[in-house]
Amino acid sequence: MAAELLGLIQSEVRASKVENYEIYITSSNAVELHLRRSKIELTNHARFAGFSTRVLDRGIGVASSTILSEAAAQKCIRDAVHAARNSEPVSYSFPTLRPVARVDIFDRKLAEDPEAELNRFAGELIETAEKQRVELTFAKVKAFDVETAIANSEDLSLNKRETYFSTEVSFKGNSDRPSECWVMRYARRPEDITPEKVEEWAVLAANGSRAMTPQTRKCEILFPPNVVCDLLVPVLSLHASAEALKLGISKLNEGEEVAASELTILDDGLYPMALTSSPFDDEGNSQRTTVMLERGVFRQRIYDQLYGQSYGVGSTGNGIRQAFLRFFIADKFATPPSCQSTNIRVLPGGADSEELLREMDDGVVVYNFSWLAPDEVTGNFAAEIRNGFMVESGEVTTPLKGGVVSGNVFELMKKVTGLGNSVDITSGQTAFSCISPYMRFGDLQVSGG
Amino acid sequence: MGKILTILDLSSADYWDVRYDSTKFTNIQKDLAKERFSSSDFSGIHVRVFKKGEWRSAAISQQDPNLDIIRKISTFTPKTNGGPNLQTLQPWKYDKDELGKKNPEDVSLEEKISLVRNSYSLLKQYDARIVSAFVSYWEVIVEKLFINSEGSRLRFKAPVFRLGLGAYARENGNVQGDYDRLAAFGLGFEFLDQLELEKLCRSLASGAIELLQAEKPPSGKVPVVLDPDNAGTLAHESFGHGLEADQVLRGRSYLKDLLRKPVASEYVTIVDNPAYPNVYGSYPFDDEGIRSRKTVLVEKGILKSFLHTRETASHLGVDPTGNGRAESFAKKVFVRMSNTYFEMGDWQLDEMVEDIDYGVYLVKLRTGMEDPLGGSLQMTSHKAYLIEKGEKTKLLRSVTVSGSALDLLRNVDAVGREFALGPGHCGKGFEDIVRTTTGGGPVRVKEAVIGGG
Repeated sequence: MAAELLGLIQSEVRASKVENYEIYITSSNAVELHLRRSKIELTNHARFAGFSTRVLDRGIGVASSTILSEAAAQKCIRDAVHAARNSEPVSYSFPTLRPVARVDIFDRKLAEDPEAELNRFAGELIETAEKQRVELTFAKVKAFDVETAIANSEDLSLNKRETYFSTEVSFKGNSDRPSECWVMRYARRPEDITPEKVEEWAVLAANGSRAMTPQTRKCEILFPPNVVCDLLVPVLSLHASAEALKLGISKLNEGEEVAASELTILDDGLYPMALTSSPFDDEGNSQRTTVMLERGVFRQRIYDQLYGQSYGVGSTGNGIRQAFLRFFIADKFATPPSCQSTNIRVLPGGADSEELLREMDDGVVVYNFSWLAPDEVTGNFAAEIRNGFMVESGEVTTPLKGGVVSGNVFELMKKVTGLGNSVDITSGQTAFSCISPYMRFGDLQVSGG
Repeated sequence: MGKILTILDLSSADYWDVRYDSTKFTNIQKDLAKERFSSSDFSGIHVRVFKKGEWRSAAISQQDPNLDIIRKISTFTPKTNGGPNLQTLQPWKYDKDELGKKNPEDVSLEEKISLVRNSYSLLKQYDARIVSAFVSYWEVIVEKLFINSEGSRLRFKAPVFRLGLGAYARENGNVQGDYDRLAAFGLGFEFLDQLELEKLCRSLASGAIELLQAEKPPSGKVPVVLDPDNAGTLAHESFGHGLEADQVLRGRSYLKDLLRKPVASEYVTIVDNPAYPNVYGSYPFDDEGIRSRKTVLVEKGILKSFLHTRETASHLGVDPTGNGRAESFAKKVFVRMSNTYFEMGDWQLDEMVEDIDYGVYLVKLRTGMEDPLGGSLQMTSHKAYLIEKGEKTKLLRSVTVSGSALDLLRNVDAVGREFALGPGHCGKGFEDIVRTTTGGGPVRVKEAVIGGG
C-alpha cells in the first residue's frame, strides 16, 4: 500500500509545482489481543496508512494526513507550503540518495500470521502464570507490520518493511498481601521476549508478597538493561545531540571525561533487530554507528540533516520520528523528524549478572520502577521501587517494594562499578530503545524506612 | 459510516457500534534552534462487535477502499463463551458544534504564529541567563460521530487548545528550567486572547533563574502542602486509577473491597467530571456514546463509586459513568478518567502553611505514576518551598512523595479554597494517551515521606 500511496502523493506534488519536498509514508497492519484474567477480552485489527509532506520554501512546513484521497493529498501539500512560507528562513536541503546498509528488522513469521503468534505468546503467559502459581490479571500483546517509503525532490527514494511486537502484562502474587510485576516491553519479534524473561516476571510477582521497604542509605545498586534504558537514553539522546549544543543546554563537551573509564556507549543505528535500527533514518540518510562515549570520554555528537548542514559535518543518520514517554510506531508519519538517538548501546564488561551480585556487600537490585523518567535537561531522577531485592554479602535476600532511588544521570555515569558480559535489546517504560548489559553503580541514594 | 454499515452482517451480534474519530492538529513550535509548523489530519473509523462476552474490533483510515478487515469482524465466532451480556441503554441523539466565539479555523496561521513568536521573545529576552526558551501551540479540531445497535446517533465538533511555555536558565554549568501549560476544550481562539501571556512569560523566566539557586530538599517524614497540580495527581494517579472498574474485574484494584467504606479523611471529596465546562479533559459523550456526567468518587472520605465503561457497568450491575475512552480511531476503548479533582475546601493557603513548624510546599507536577494493585504512590513536583515556623522560606528543587495513597488521603487535614485545574495526559498503563485535567483545592497532609526528586 505504501508504494501506491507514494505514487498518488508524488503525482499531486508534481502537479502543484513544489520544488523542494519530502514525502514520508507509513502503512501498517496492527493486530492486538487483550486478555482479562487469562480470557480473551478483545481482538483488534487496525489497518491504516498515513502520509506527511515536508516542504522547503524559505522555511520548512509539514503537514500529514490519514485520509486516503487526492483531495486530502492536495490539502496536505497546500498546508505544508503555507506553513513553510510563513516560517523563519532556514538553511537546509533534503538528503540525496547514498548507499545504505542492510539490517535485519523484519520477522516474516510475525508478519504472515500475527494472530497465531499473538495467541501463542498469550498461551505462554497463561502457562507461566499456572506454573509459577501466580495470577495473570491482564495482558496486551500486539503485532505491527509496517511499510515505510520516503521520497524527496533530490530523487531520493527508499522503502523498508519492519515488524514490532509488544506486550504489557501484569502477574499478581497469590497472597493476601498484594504483589505485582507489571511490565511493558517492545521487540522486533516475539522470541526476543524469551520464556525465561516471562518466568522472571512471574517469579518477581510471587516474591513481592514478602517485600519490605528498604532502609534509607547510600549503597550499590544493580540495574537490568530495561532500567538502564530509562536512565541513560533520554539524557544522552538530548545532551549528545547537536540540537542541545545549539540550544546551549548540552552538558557534554567533546574530549571531556564525563563517565567512568569502563563505560563505552555507542549510538548504533544498525544493530540487528534493535528497535530503532534501520538502513536509513526518517529523513533518508543512512544510519550508522557513532561512538558517543569511549572509555568515559565524550567523543562524538549526533546530527540530523538540519544540524549536520548547520555545523558542516553532515548527518549521522539521527533524524528520527520518535519520542519519550509516548512511542510512535504506526503513526510515525505524523511526527516530524528531530535530532535524537537511534539505539543507545552500552558495550558489555566482563562479569555475568550473578558475579555482579556476588561482588556486592550491601546493596539493592531493582528490576522495575514505578515510573523512571529522568529530567532530560538536568539528569535528575527519582523513582519508586516496584520489584527489587536486598543484596547482602553477595546473596539476594529480602524482596523490596516502595522506597525511592534518586540521583543524577551525569553523576551516575561516573559511579559505574560493574558491567555485565551479555546484552539485551530492550525498551524501557519511558525510553524506546537500548542495547545494554546489567549495570552496577555505587553510592546511590535509597530513601525508605 | 453509511457505507460501512452496508457491508456488515450484524445479525448475530449482541451489540455493535461504529465511531468516526477525526482530529485535525495545528502545531507551531519555537525554540532557540528552530521554528516548526506542522498540521495533521488523523481520521478514521472504528467498528466494534460484541458477542457472548467477547469483543472484536477493527479500524481503518478514512476513505481506505479496502474494507476486508471490517467485513471479517462482523461474523466472528467467539473463542470463549462467558461473561454477561451488555445492558441495554436508551438511545439518544446529540449533534452540536462547540466552536466558541472565535472559530480557530477562521483565525489565520499568521495570527497564531505571531502569538508564538511574541511569547518566545518575552521568555528569551527576559535576562541574559535565559539561554533557551520554548513555546508550543497545539490546536486540535476534534470531530466525533457515533452510532450503535441501540439507535443512538451522536456527533460533536469542538476545538481543543494547549499552549506550553518554558524557559531554561544557565549559570556556571548549572541549567534549570521552568514551564507551564494552559489548555481548554470547546472554546474558540478567545481562550488565547484572554491569557495574560506577558505576565506568565516573565514569571516563567524569573522562575527558571530562581531555580538556579534552589536547594536540595530534605528527606524523611514531614507535613506537606500539595498545590492543586500535585493534589490533582494524588486524586488521579494514586487514587483514580484504582477506581477504574476494569482493574476491579482484573482483580487488580486495591480499592475493590472498599466501596461505601472510609478511604480518606472527612475533608476529602474527589470527583471525576467530563461535563466540567471547557477544560482540557472534557467531552459531551464518551467513545461508547454515553453522555458525560459528574461522578462522585469519594464524598467526605467515603468511597462512593468506581468509573465504568458499558461492559464493566454490566458486569457490576450499575450504570455506565461515561468514562469509556480511546486514544484515537485505531485504539481500544478503556475505562479512563477525565477531569479528576478535589472539591474545594474552606482553607486559605496561608492558613494551611502557618500551622506547620517544619514541612514542604510542593509546586507544579513533574511526573506521577499509578499503582492500581498496590495502592502506592509516586509523585514528583517540579519545585517546592521549605516551610519553617509557618512561613514559606527557601526555594527547593523537585521533591518526590512516596508511600501509600490511602495513608496520604487519611492524613489530609485541610483542603484549600484556591481551586485550579491543570491539563495533563494520562496513559492506560504505558500507552493509550488521552487528555485529562487534574487539580482542585490545595491539600495539606499531616505526614508524608519525601525525598529529592
